[in-house]
Amino acid sequence: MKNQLEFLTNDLLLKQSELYGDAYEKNTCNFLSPTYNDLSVHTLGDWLNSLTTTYDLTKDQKLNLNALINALEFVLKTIDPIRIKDIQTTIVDDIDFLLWRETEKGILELNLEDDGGIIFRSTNRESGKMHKKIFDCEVDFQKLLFNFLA
Amino acid sequence: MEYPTLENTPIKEIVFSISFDENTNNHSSAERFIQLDDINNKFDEINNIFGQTVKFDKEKTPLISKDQIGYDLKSKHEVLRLRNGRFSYHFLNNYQEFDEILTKFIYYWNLYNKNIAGELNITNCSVRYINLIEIDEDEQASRLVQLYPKYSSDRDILAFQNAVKFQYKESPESEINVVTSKIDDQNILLDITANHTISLKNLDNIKMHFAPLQQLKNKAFFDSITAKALLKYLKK
Repeated sequence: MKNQLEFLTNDLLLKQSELYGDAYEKNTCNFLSPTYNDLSVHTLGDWLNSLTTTYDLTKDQKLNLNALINALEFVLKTIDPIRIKDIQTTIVDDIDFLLWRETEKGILELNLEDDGGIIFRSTNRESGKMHKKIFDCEVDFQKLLFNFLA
Repeated sequence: MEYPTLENTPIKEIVFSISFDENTNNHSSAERFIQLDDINNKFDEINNIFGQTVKFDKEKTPLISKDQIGYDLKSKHEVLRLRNGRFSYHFLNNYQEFDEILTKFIYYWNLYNKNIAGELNITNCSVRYINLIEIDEDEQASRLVQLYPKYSSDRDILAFQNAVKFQYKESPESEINVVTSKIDDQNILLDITANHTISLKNLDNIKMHFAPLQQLKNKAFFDSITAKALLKYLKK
């Protein structure tokens, strides 16, 4: 799963060309169609499909993941696409869906709980200090992603 | 290794970039940078880039708004792009030596870096060279570039995009991305990026990190074209 977003990252980087960004945009439309193959994730829709078929998620987890990926579509326009390349996913304690990434500063985790709760946790590599924030109903997914991708 | 100088270069766009962890557009750093005389007077167009943003709430209708996501500074041959976590310099439709472009890039980067609050954790340096290769009935893609769909007289290739990522064994610290893409009936792009992933607090000696990428992107270019293409671009 580690390199699942690498194709998407590369596509986004290609589109950053000043002269040929539009040509790459057009070519992406020509070639890419939704697929469930992990190695062929070129769009966020592909990624969502891949995650929902790979993991047995609850209704609330699917709702949150859907909202998160919708927000990511906008956040990706504002950040260096390289940052999403390292996102990894796993299931914790058989029920919680975890997205996580390792940076120079430490580990960032986004835990989508089975009952709809969301926990954002960052652990500093040097000090070991942990910062945890729990969300229940009102979630600003874009802000959450900026923290996760910071 | 010495590579020949191409008098008729197919290079159309050159991009030098630095990536970093911090979200610099979240505060007034970028504003301070673009207000500098050296920047303001240099670029004819300074565009605030807006993107649509949406706030989600599980119980309510999503709230759509437009927020600023960065700046594009443009002149005839240069573009500076400021985005969260990325500073890139694009040199367009003109050719200059690697060192000349690097010097300009370093100049802009130093100005930018001085006007950023706090130090930046640099994660990646990259150079990208986009070449426009003209094709026609006699000179199909497969006769000019090495990464291609096989040409045959009984079919027309309408579109293709091939990508390969690799490392040269003598430079395991850097990655090369080569993409070939047919963009219309007359042209394909040969798009070469050399990346150097690092982790540094501020970048004092930028030149040291970019210089090795010159040789790598050259090697990748000459490895990616055919002898026929070399002859085509060697002389005007």
